Amino acid sequence: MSIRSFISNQKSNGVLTVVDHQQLSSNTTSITFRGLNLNEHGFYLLYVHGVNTSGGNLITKMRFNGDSTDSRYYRQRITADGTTVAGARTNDAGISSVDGNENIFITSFIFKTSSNTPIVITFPTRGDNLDLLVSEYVLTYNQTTNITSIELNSGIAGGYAAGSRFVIMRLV
Amino acid sequence: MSILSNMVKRDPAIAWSVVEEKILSANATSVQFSNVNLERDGSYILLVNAINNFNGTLGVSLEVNGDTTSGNYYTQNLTANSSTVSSARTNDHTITQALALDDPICIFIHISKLTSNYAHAYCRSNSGSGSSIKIWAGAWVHSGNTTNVTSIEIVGNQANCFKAGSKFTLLKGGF
Repeated sequence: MSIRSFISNQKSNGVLTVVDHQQLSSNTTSITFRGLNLNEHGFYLLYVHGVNTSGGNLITKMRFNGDSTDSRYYRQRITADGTTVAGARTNDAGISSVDGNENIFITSFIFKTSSNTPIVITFPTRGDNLDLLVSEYVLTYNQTTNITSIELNSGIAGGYAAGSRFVIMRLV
Repeated sequence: MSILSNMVKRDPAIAWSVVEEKILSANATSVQFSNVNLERDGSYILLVNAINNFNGTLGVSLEVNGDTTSGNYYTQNLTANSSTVSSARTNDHTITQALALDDPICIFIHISKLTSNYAHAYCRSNSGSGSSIKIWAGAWVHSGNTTNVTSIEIVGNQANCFKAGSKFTLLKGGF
């Protein structure tokens, strides 16, 4: 299998290309990627290296088109914390959770389902040493409109610390 | 060291580019990438597409800088083997397993640094195929070690466990 076949798909026969990129110079509550077009692009890959210096638990919510109404979203997660495996289905837009003063790495694959609603598969990993934690989240949104903006909201004032990085890519 | 100086600002125009691709011409126990500089490049993605040459359960580990002491690493895993789900946090460097001879070993590994400056990786992999397919998700950290990463190694715990033809591809991140 060639490298090209790892990073291309049949639709575009292309390569992953950065759409937008932000590295924070100061603590920030939320960031928004604008000018998107999920219907046309078909797929986005999001990468985040978040730093939570707030001291409290930080849940990142992914909001489409500025829609902050949690009841339009559902998430299912599975989390491994030591020998404890836990799952939960929640009526909100969460895609990851990180404890205070820890790092989080997020990789999200953003598609539309055959019913034209967005679906997001996310692999968050957080912490280090005895706090290492592995999760998988699936997020759904019950609207069929095109997605033109994606917001990542920490829910904490200045929750994403300076240095946090956010990259969104698509196939070109 | 500040958070910003720990986190290398990346070129936003580049996503991933290949550093090196290794295809085994003979069975091997380990594969090493030595043209590595994590502080310069910011992040790496390592794709493993290997075949288990050991007739039994094979443990596959991620090592950096030639540090073979498993106690210098921590991992957290989450595995699903049919209806059995389990997890563990372990003071070692195992990132996946293969269960039987000729099982495919496909691993996605992302390597970067935490703000503590420890090397960190997250991995997604399968082991087995068909009716024996198994999921292994994991996180990995080179604990207490803040030196730059200048080599990356994938190591099996059985001699010549990676069959000839196995492929290992290292990409450097634009993020």
